[in-house]
Amino acid sequence: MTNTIKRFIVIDDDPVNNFLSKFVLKKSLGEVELMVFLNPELALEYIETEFQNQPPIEKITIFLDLNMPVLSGWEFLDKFETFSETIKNQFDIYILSSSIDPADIERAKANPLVIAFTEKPINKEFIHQTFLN
Amino acid sequence: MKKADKGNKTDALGNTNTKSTSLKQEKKKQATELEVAYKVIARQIEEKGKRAAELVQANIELAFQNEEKGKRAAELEIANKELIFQNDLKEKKAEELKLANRNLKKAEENLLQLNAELEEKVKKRSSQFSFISQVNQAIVLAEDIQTLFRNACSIALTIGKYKMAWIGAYDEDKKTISLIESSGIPDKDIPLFTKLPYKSNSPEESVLRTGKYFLSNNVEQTLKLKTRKQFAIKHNIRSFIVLPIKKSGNIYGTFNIYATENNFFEKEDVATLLEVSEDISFALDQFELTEKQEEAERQLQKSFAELETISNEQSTILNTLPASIALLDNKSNIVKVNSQWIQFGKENGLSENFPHVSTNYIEISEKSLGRDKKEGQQMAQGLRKILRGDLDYFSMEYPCDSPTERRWFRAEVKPFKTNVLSGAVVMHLNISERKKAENKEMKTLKALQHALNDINKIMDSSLDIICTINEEGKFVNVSSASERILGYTPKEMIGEKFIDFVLFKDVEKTKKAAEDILSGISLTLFENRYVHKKGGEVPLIWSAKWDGTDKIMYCIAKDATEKKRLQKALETERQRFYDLFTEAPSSMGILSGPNHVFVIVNPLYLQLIGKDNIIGKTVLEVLPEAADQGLIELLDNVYKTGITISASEMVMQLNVNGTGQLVDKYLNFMYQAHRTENDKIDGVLFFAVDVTEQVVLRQKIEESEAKLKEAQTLLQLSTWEINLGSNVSTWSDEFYAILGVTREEIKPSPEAFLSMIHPDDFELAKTQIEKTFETLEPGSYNARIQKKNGDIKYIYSEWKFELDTNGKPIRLYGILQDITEKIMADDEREKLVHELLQRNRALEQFTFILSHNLRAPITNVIGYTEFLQDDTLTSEEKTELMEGLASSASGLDTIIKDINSILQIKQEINDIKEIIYFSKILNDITINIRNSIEVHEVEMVSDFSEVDEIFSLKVYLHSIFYNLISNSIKYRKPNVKPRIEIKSKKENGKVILTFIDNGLGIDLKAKGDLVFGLYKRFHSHVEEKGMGLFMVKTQVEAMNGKISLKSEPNKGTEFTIVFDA
Repeated sequence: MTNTIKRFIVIDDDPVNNFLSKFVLKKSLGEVELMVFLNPELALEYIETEFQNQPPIEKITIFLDLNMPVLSGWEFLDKFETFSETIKNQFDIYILSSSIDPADIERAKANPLVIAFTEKPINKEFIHQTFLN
Repeated sequence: MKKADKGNKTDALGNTNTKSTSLKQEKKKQATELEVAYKVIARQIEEKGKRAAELVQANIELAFQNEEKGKRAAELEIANKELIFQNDLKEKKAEELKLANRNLKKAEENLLQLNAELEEKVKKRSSQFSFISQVNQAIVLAEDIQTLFRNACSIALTIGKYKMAWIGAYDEDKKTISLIESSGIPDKDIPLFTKLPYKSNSPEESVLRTGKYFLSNNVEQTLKLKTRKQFAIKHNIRSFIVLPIKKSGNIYGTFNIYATENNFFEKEDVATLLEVSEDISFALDQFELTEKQEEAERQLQKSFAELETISNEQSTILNTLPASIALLDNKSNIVKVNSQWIQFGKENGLSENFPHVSTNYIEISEKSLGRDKKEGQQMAQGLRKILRGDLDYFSMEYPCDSPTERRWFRAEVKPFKTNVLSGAVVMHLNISERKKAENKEMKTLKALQHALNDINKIMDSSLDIICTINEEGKFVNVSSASERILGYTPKEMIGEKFIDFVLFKDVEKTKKAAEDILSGISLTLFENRYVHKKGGEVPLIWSAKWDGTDKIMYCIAKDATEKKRLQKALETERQRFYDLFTEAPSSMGILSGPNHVFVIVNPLYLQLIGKDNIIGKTVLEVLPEAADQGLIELLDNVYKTGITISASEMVMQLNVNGTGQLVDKYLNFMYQAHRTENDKIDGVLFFAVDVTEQVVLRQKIEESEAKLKEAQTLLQLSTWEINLGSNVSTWSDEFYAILGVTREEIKPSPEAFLSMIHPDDFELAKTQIEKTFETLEPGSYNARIQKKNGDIKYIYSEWKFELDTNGKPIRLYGILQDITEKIMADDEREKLVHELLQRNRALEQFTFILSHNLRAPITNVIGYTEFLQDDTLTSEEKTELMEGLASSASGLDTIIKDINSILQIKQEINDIKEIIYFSKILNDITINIRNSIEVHEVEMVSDFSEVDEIFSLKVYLHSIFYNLISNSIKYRKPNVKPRIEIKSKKENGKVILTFIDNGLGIDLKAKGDLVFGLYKRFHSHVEEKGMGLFMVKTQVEAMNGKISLKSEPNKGTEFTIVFDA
């Protein structure tokens, strides 16, 4: 554990869930830096512009929903793929989805950009295992 | 030995006695001088200690000086006497003189005493030097350490006047010291000094630890060990010294010397003893060094001897002279050579005294000039590699002629390593004899080879296999024809057993033949078969002869394949001809002479005429019944004129059954003249085919066809026909029934039939008929006909042409079937399938909703409830979480409602259909959403003039209109007034609705397949669930309609819905 504040980006069109995610992260990790995007396109735009020349500090964790309007989580990943290594290297992507469709889980596993598939709701155990150990 | 000379001069020590006789006052000073001199000398002696030579010198000088003093004393005496005489008269002074004399005498006495002390000291020194000298001598003389130790100990007693002496070696592991040699210790006490443990601070331990001697001039105070103390008391030992003995700089053991007086060891003694122990240590090292050197030398000698032995052995084997061997060190300097090497040098012009050893061999090799230059370089290079360790072995052969003969040498270089020397061994072997022999052999061999080549060429040019086989039955030589005949090259056969190449079936007889040959019977024209390399038999004809002296069988094998093939071909030809003759589907035979005698006939002919044994009989004899039917005349005619006669389906009545009853036989036949080589007719060839069966069959078919025609006309089947000659059509009663018309109403004609065909199917039926007249092939079609009362019937017709013998169509006839029921059943099934598909799709959607949409709010509920259980929550947090929970629960409710409405579609399909007016529906909706329309200033345009009604479900249509209109408003372009255009039209009996807007549009390239999916949304700014279009599509499809869209981003969207009216 470093002393730097953990940074998170939550991309999900469901504000109810986003509130929950925010709550859990703060409750589990204390002070965190957290950005929420209801529209994945805006998230992509933000990532592409803001992280172009960022010095590589601690990685930012993205929680990405799959089932979203305009751009699904998969489409988000397709676009993210095209970004430069500099940008990509700054993020750890977790799929955070309510889907229990095995096809979705397999697809997430097969995608090298995705660290893991996490089923909603996001819970303390997961946060502890992933960010505190 | 370096110290050996030390004691040599001890003999020079002579008597140093001086004599002083007179006492004179004037000599007082000189006496004092003398005393001072003595003191100086004594000090010098003391200082010099162990350095014997100097001491000896000093003693000699001292002696000399004493002598001088003596001489001078004598002179003084004379002078005194003269003085006495001169001063006799001077009596005054006599008393003074007496006094002086008395003083002198006193001085003299002192001098004498001093002299005696000095003598004592010198004696002791001399004994110490004698000790050192003796020990050094012992070192020089000793053959081994043991002897040295023994001698050193005994010298300590004899020369050093000590009581006991022993030398022991340490065992540091066991912390003991053990006596090796001793002197003066009684035998029974020796065990005391064996494995004697030394404790810390004991004399032995101190020596081992410090490397310095240990001295005790008072045993009683020093010794603590009881046993040793007892020993000391028993033997009256008062002082002792323990001296270190070193080996290669390390403490090896001790030299222990015991004396019977207290304070026996003075400074000088200690110095002497130290020197002695150092000398012994030095000797130990020398012994070891010598031993190593000797061992190395022994090894070197041994290796060299072995090398020489090998060389000698090799020379015996190779019939060469013994090798010249030189041993080189790692710098290639020659260390050792054998006598052969020196000899070799002499032969090559080196003098007998040439210093081979320590010459650098690489330099010598490199200096080689002229003819040897190349070889010299090669040798130097090889040697360097060996010495560098790059090569393990190097050899070269080189010519080196002596003035009298041609010579070749072989040089071998191998690395050499012992623990004292590493380097290389160089060996030169004279291999001239071998080379000469080789050359000679080569010449003979060449000649032989030449002869052999000639023979082989002859052998190889033979088309037959020429080979030799030895007693074991193996091929010794095989000519190259083997490859052509058997597929094996001679190489592949030589050394192999011939029997292995023989075809299995022929092995036995071949073995027997081989035995015959071995017993001396020469064999010609023995036939057997070999197996070709690629498979297949090869017949061979052999002639073979056994040579008893050479024990070899000489054989020639001729390829008999061609012969066999010809034989076989002939046989096959004959068989083929015979087969043709016997199996031919026509009867045939040959008649000979004017009386037509049967010469040969085939079985079919015998069968035809129902006779047997006819060869040699005349036609008349065999077929008396035929005579009346003009057969003989025909044959006579052919025989006479040579003109061939043939006929088809000619009836002959033959007595086939032998019963005398004649049977009709229809024959196609031919009679042909048979001619001799001179073209003279000598008989008749006949061929006849029995076509009776065919003729009878044809007659039967003709009969049954006539009957069929009759039957068709009798039975009123649903048939039709067109007489193409007269162009008259005929329809059966059943045909009329299917069409639902009477003979009175319609006269049969193709045109009348076509007029009844459903307009939609008319073109197809017409083209089918046209096509059938072009091809004259049978054909068929499906079509609908429209009855007078409006009923539709599905019919199927199939037809055929009847052609005349010239292939011209004379009649077209066919059947007609009513397949309405079947088609209806098919339709029903199709509907069912459609419904099932839709149900299935709904189920798929349902699964999707479950896994994606229904689960989302549920996970939220789970998440919130989970955190609400946290005791540490503040009341604010709790409120927040409760709000989230409520919102999640209501989200869940919405989804469940959606699912319900989707599933309801299935139920509503069964609701009552009614006539619905598009305009009315639009009106209702406009009122419903008036607010929204006004707020967004929506321009609504509609045109239902072409068709305004549809027979369908109102709820659905309402939902479709509502969803499409509200979508258009939701996804309007910002800053542009929304315009919605709704139109209806009718096409091919279908009602088409179009909804066109000027909104945002959808990127169909990217999203096309998702447009109608459940919960698919394409714009994130609008709050909605993505249900609308899914519902529209489901409802349209439930009404058997189809929906499609055209759209481009920012150009608007056009939906088209097609309903079957």
